[in-house]
Amino acid sequence: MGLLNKITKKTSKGISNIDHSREAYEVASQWQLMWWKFRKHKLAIIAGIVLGILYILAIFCEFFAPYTPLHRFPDHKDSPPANVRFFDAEGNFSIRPFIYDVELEVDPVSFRRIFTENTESKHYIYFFVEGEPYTFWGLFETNIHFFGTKSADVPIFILGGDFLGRDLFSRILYGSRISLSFGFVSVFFVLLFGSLLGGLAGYLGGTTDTIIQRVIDVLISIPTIPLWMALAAALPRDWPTLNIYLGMVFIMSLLGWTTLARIVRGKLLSLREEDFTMAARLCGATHFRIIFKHLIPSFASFLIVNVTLAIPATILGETALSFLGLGLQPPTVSWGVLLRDAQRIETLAHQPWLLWPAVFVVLTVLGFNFLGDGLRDAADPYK
Amino acid sequence: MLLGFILKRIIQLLPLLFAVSIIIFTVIQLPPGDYLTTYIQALELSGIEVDAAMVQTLTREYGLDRPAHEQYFIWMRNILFEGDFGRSFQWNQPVTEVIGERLMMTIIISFVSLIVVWVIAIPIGIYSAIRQHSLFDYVFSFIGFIGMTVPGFLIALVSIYLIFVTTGVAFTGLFSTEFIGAPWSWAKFIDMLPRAGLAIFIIGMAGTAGLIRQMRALMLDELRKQYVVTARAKGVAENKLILKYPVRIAINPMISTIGWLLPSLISGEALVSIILNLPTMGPLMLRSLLAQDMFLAGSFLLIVSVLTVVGTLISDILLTVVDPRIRFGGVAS
Amino acid sequence: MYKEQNDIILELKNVRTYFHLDEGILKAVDGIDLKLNKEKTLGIVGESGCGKSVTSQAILGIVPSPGKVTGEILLYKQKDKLKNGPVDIVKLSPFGAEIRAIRGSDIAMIFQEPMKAFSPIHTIGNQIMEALLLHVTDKPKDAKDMAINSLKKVGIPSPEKRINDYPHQLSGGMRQRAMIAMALSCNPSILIADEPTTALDVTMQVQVLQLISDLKSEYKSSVIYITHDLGVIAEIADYVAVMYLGKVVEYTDVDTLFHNPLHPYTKALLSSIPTITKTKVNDLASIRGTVPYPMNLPSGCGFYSRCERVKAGLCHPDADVQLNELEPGHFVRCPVAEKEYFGEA
Repeated sequence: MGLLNKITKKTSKGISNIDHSREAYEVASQWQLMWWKFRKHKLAIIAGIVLGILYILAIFCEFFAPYTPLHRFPDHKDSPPANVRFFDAEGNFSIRPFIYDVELEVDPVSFRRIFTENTESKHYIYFFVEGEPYTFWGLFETNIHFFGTKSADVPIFILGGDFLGRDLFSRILYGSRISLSFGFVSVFFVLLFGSLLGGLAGYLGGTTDTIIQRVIDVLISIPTIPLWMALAAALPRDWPTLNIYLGMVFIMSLLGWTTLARIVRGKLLSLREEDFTMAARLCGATHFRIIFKHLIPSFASFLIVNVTLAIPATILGETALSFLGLGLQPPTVSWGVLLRDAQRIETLAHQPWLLWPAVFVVLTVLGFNFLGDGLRDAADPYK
Repeated sequence: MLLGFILKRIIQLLPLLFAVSIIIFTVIQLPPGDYLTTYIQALELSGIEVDAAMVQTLTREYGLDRPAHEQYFIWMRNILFEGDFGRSFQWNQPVTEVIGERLMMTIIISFVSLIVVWVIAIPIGIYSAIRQHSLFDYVFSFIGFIGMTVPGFLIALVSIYLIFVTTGVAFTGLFSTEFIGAPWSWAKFIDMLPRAGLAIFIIGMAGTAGLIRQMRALMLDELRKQYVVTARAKGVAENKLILKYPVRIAINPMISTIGWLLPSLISGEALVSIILNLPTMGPLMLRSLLAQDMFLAGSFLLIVSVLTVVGTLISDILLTVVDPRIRFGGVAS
Repeated sequence: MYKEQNDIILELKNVRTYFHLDEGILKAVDGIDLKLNKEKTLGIVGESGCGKSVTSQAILGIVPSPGKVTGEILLYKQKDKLKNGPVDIVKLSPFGAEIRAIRGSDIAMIFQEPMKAFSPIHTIGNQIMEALLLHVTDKPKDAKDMAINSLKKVGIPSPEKRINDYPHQLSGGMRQRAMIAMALSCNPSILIADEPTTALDVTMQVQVLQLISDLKSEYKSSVIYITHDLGVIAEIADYVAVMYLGKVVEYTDVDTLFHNPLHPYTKALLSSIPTITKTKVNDLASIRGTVPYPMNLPSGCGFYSRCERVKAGLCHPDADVQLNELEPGHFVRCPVAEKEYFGEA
């Protein structure tokens, strides 16, 4: 081979160049190939970044939110989103953005609240400002917020305020903690039950398989959303939030594992007959080792993709149920609970900003789906 | 031959339905207390004295003092042998009267959605596969993607808002205010169309998007296959051969999707109809669950589950009829 | 090369099939010249990836996009003879009526795997009659009779019953015969056989080869037989073209090829056939290296990187080598062989 290389290198750059890059491609590991292919999928990368931002906002929501979720500003009920300005009424420019305080008038004819900006009352927006005290993750007390006004009476509602004068943006951020974490927690259990039961059914076959399959058949015969509604309605309304949260996780995973189990079962059934499985058995591998070292890695990427695509479904489930009044109750804040305020058409017509939680939901769901799509394309690097 | 197959499948489904009914019954019984206790509590809260004798009569009548499994048997027996689905506490009427028209609406809307979904999705899926990587393909893939990921109830919410803001009409309910309660007429039908159309559009959207993707993927798989080349090599015209071969073969697995499409439509319809306030089962089911109206809620769940199972049965039968590989044995490639 | 020039039924001149992909240009077929005579069998032999299948696709005009065919593929039609000479298939629109009239009727093709080549949800009768109804008759009854007749000719028992069977109901051997019946049903003048025996065991292989041979004389058709199996070539071919990386490297009649091969690649192929009659037990001879991927290939001798007989001064990997007629009817594309033949031994 050495002689061959010398000859080709000396006389033909073309052929040896092709061979080397192709060689690199051929010996790259499975995960390296996946990463290369994933990188090409720009949408997936953007989705990943957006999701990352959302999760950071959720994790550090006490810091990023200017106010705590229950803090009311009684003079600013139903206040529209603040108009952040750089130029004031006289046309002066200020690098530091500011808002004008709003004054409330009630229209005598329609009884509607009208907010007009009071150009006398200028309030600058500061970053890392001192505001309401809070405990950071229950660890230590602090009162630094990412942004806010310096005055305690004049709030900055960047996405508007609700009917009790609470900042919608802060509430959305606190709500994202619940909504976003819900996805991960439920999917964890779905993954656990689904792969366990599906794996057992597929690998062992026989009676185990039949029983598990019948159970799956029964569970999927009941339409999902009505069943979710029924189960969620069974949660006592006066349970503490954590219990309700866990109850909803339980409900989601109870029905969610069936799809994953079927897929895992199907994969294992076919892989069980593959030559490499038989080769492993002939080498003396135990069942356990075969399942975990040989079979599962061959469709691990497939599992990752499925899990990524299952997360938005659970987030949507929680949002839908809370939206309907089942599941999480106020004063707990989740995106679904926030959207309950936007249910009635009259409310929506006058305070359309109450739909902002929906935007966050859509962003999250789209993000996970694009990410999952990118992963799915990348997971088949040998295509 | 085919009849025997159908009968066999139906018999196989009976234990399934049995298990489903048990689960539904359990779920309905889960909320602590029962309607009666809630009802009594509500009455007492509003200051009305409740007659102990009346409580006893009601308890006995609905078997609320019997153990759970006896209650189940009574419930099932009433349904199967007398068509009596029990009595709704909320409305103080037999369940059959309460559900009746709403059930009909749900079935109609679900089936129409199913047909619309198929009629739209299949041709788009086929065309996207044939003209892969064309503008058409990319545009519809994107639309389909959005349709699949953005949930129906959010779209419903936003749609109502937009329509209200632009036209000032609250697009809820199936009829505009003049026609509610009016007897059926051509005008009433026309009035219903835009709202029903919006409902069907939203309900069907996720299903359409999913079906387009599936059909496209199946077609792409089949178009690569050898028998397509054989047909082309024989001199068959391109359009004819696509319809005769890959489309016919790709349709088979699509037919089995009816099995899950119908229940997912019914399921999605529940949410959307709550928001759009349609006279179907969704809104009523929600209220009955919130009020623990046991017979009503249980009957709802039972009926939609039966519809689901029927849907699966239909698609199984269709699949057998259409695919000769299953009929004559042999391995489906 | 051939004694009777007006016996030519198909002629390929400088045919190239390039695929313009994102990664570069894939030259599947890079300039080949072939001639096919009446009632003769041309064997095309080569390793996987040398372009033999793409050549057959080009002849029928079914090269999948984004492939583009250039050059000339001249068909001298035997049915409905045109007054003004041959049809250039390259110039025909791939979806047009003209090429569709040729496919199945003038040129027919049989494939490697009959199970995959048939549609699983149509009866074989339906699929055979399809071609007949397109090219021969428009009466279904006549088409059915002809189809039954074709099945009988290929030796399938009880053809009237078999005609209503689905492909999966036939055995492997019968399926292959049915495919041959389907191809020959319209009496084509050219039959292209794309590795039809590769997937079969040896006994079935013999039967199918015999069948093709018999039908060829009965229908008076010419055959292009594509394979990588030199043993089969020895059996049935009259003339052989050896292909490598999209080019014909040696082209002559079958006897000359086996007894006097001149191109280093041909010689290597022949010596790598294991035999059981050798007295000395040697290692199996093989050609070192692997076939390069035909993407963005530089021009020049494709075999350069694997050739044992490279001679500096004569061989440049970048210089185009011509296909030259070294002796009557024997074409070789190799400067070393040329020099050896004419100059020093």
